[in-house]
Amino acid sequence: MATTAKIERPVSPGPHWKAGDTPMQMGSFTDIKPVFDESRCFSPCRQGCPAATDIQSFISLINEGKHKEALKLVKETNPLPLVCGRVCPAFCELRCSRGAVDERIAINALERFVADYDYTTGAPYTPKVKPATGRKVAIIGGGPAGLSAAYYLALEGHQVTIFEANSQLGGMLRYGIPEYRLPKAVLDKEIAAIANLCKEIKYNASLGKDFTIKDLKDKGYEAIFIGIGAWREEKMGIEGENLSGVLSGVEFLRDIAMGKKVDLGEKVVVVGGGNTAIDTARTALRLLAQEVTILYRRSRAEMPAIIGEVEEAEREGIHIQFLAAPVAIKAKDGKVDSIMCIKMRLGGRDESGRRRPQPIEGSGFTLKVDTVITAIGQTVDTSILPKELIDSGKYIKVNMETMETALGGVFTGGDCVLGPGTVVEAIAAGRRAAFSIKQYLSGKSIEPLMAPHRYDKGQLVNIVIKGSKVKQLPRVKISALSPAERKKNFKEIKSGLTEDKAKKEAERCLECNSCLLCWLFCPEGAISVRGNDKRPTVDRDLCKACGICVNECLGRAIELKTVESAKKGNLRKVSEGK
Amino acid sequence: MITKEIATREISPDELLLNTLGCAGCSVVLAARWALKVLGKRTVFAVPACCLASVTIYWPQMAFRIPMVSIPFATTGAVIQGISAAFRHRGITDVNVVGVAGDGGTADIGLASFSQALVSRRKFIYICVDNEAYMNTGVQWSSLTPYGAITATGPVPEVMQERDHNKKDLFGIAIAHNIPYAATACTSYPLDFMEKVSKAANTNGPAFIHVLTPCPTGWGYPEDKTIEIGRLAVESGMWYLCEYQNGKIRFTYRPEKKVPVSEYLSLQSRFRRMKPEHITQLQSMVDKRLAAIEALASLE
Amino acid sequence: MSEKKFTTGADAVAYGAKLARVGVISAYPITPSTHIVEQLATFIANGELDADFIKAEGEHSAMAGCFGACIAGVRTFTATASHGLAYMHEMLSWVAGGRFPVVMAVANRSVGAPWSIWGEHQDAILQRDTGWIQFYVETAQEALDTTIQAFKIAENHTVSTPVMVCLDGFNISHAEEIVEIPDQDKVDNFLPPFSRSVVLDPDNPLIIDVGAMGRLTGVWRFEQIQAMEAAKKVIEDVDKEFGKVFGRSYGGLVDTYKCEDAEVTVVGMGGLACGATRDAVDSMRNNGVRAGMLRLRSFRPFPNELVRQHLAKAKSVVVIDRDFSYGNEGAVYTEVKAALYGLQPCPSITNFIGGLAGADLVAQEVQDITQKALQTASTERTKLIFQYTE
Repeated sequence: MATTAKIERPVSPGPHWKAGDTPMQMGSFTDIKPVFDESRCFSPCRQGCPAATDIQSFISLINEGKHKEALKLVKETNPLPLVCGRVCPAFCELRCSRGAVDERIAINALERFVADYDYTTGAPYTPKVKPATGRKVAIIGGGPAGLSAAYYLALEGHQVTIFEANSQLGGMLRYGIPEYRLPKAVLDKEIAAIANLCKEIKYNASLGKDFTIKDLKDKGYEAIFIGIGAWREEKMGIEGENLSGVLSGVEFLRDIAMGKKVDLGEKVVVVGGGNTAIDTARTALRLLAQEVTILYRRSRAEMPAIIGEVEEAEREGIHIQFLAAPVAIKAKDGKVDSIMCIKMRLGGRDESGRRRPQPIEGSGFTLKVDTVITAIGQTVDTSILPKELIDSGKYIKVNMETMETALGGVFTGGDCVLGPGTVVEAIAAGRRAAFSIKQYLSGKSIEPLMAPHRYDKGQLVNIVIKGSKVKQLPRVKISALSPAERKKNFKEIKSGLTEDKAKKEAERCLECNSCLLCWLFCPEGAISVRGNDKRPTVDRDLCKACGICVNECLGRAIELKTVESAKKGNLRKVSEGK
Repeated sequence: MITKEIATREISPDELLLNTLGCAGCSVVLAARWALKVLGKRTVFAVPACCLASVTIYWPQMAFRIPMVSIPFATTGAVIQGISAAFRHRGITDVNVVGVAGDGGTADIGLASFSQALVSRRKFIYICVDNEAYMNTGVQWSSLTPYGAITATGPVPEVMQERDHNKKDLFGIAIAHNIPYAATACTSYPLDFMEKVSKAANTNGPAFIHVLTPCPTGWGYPEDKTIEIGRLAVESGMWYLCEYQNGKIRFTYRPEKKVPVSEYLSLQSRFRRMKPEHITQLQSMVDKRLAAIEALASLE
Repeated sequence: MSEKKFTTGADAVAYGAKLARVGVISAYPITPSTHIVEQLATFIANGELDADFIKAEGEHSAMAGCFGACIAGVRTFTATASHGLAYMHEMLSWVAGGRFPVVMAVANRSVGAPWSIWGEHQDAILQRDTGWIQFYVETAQEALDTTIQAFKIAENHTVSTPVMVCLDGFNISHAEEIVEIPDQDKVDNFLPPFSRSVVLDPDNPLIIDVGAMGRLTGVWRFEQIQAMEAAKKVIEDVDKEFGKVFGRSYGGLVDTYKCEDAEVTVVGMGGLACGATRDAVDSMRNNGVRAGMLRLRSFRPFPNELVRQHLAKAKSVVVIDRDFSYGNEGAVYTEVKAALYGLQPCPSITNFIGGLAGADLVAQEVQDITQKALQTASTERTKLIFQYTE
């Protein structure tokens, strides 16, 4: 290999070189490269939303003043924005990348804005319905899961009948979530829009009592959606649980929603740490109870309730005693008089990964109480269901992507599958089920609506690529009633945004278009995010086709494929001579 | 899920390390890439014999875009002392001085100079990229190789002398020097790592980060699983994400689920010789070490 | 103002480094070099020298610290001996191959086993192939002056090679002489501030010490060889210039004493051997023997041409080695012999191996050996003589 040409040496003296001089394209050793499916590449907000609502786009429409189009877009994935815009814990906001710059976008408030705004126009949005198919579908349970399934099936032209056990539709929306979070008047508007699309609503019709699954099938319902929720209060299993004056949180909220009068006395203790416990406590406080205490056996960090709700409860004057559990309820004259409790400490982790509460010897204490309300968990009333549907006795067994159960033609979703969850998860499940039912009715094999995004990827992170053009702007302030103004009434606490405020907030959106995890995890820096649409693209000269991006993409939007135009063996030869 | 905070970060788009000779799926390169995104252009790297040097200093491929010097195997701590002293002497205060060495270059042949650098109290960042063996030269054993892993110089682990040794406690060694900042990290937790690099850069003295960097070539798993394997390392307790600052240790991240070590081991062919009794022993060692760190972390 | 001090060789070296305004010293103590760095630490502590002192945990790291300081753009210095020099062997190659102008003083000492703290040249001789320029000085004054010269030589852009200033352990390092400490301003004029093109600089990012297979490395090695060759002239020029400025010079690459008409010439390095030799030469001259001395000041680069030139007319040459290349002969002997290759006629050449492990070399001994060598010049063409065989 003798040559006479001089090797250019840019640095002298010594064996040194200029940094960044890389004549070889290290990705050219393979023509396998990642290919992106843009339809699965979501902005982080959309990834976080269980309903996969195209949040970035609807915010963009608000920016343009196209509020009706924004609402239409929301309703493509969520038929209950009036509700969700008020009660959703806003998983989307947690994922909002604006949080890496200054403060997360108030997405929930923007959703509420487009929903509220629609009703101020005088001509609220009505969706297009496909021609009638004549196929009958039964929805058991008129809660958010059932309402969502009903909506999407009705739009397909199918004949939907909702079988509702109560005298009104809504499920937990009406009978669980209190008025001050979700006024019934608002709820009724939204439910009416869905009910109007259905063939019929049968009220006071309970599965197992008034009809069975077999009955429905015999009556010609070709597909059935079960959205019966989880209404059975879990028992504490302590002495005195059955005394008069010990209530179930679920039943208490239901009674209040139905307008019944409940006498709580002066001191109320609520046991539990979930949203039901918080709703129960805040409702009790408004009903003239002087003192409301929540007992929770773990610490604040483990509390499953929405953080904002917990904070509001404390602001309103509810005392939360952490690391405490009831041991026995004592009566006087046949009525609840006091509750004996014990302090807890957190020990090692159990299978769920949470630290196990253990009672501290000798730390017992007693609280005077008039009413004890339990809200420690809810289960499904499986006694009304066919045995084949049930999984280990607790919930309905389901394929979480297609929402199919063990019985052909029977689908399900919502709390009866996952246990007490959120409204938006139930809505998403209803829509997935509707999509599956649509295929089922047309005789096709069922492909899931969309394989859900992956959240089993350890620590979720949100990143923003640093750019110079983003100015720090504060998040819009949402006005709310002060604790004093809330006393002893059920007025809706939070206000909506004005159009002006909504537009200003919408302008803060960074228009992420993708979550950037592929860009982050690529060891070669081969993925870049360029152009106005900021979608990931790969530099084929740098990419070694390791496949990390494929594995880390939460949307499963990337696949490794042989790419014809990626040249193989394109190692630029460093000239050593002629 | 409702109550969980999500780590967020604005990250620089600059790529200061590109086009290396590294294996596909290499997390050492990934760690260096991320560190440079935090540290920026005004950074100098001193890198001894290790994978990172091997893939960036062989002519004609000069993958670093910042000033970088390749140095003899044992010298990282000493060279960064020299650089740090010289910059101080010249009044240069805005350039990060960073030594990046592997497990061998830090815990074995480089241990003495590593220790002395920490003692010197000079301002620098020392990052140990730990792929748990001398990978660069063909997977020879290091004192940071986990119990039971097959290496080229320990092909039958169960008959080797280092019976019940599992990974020298380098974090503990660093802390024993009372430096202002030390941390453990893993390339499966990018924002945790970047935050630590950022803290290290703002430390007025020695800062040490020990980052676990899984290696598909040497650990025996498919290269697309690099991030997943690192997650399992942390979820099984084989590795932990901690920080030492102002004399106190704390966990910076605790995984939500705990996974038995067997699940982690079963995915890597370097552990294929482990029998149930070895796995049990390793599980016990891992549990003990985690408990010891938990105990230290809970000290006031 | 220059001043005269009664001081040791070690301190003299320290003064040299101080006057050269070194910015970073990275060192590890080892007898008999320790006082050099201790004195420098004292200078720093009392504000006489603005420098950083890195207390390394070993000599390998000490040289690595110097290396780090050098590539970060600061003039750097260290001192060691014996096992310490051996410990930093790897780093010596690294610094020289990378063409970095580090200056180091070596207080020459035996390398065990057997254990010995005493003077000998073996330590530096062992490192003769690493690519460092090597000076062997004769006096404390020369130690100081050569230290200053060393920076100028090392930093010369055609040289850019590290320099080792060797002084006999104990004989020079610990013995006190009257030494003139030059004036700082004069030194500043003579030795400009440190500046280099190969530095760690974010405004001009370089990859320092790359690797390359085959031809390119061959080219770099050739440049290193050429630099050593260029160093010969630079060493001469710098010594001449030093002479003009400070009034003292040492002959550049070699120092001669009554060599011009010598029939027998003793070749040596360092103060012990050459001090004894000067006295032996004078004594022999008094006895009518035309003896002379050729002192190798620079061992690397080896002054082949000058050695040949100065020894060509002698009938006999005696080379004193305070070292040995086991399996062959004294190292200096080998190199001198090679320099004379092909000479017609060629002097006989005797190797006197002595002064090992602090053993004294006295003029009488040198004289006896030298006179004997001259007598047997035609019959014993090469000979090895050991100071002690029993």
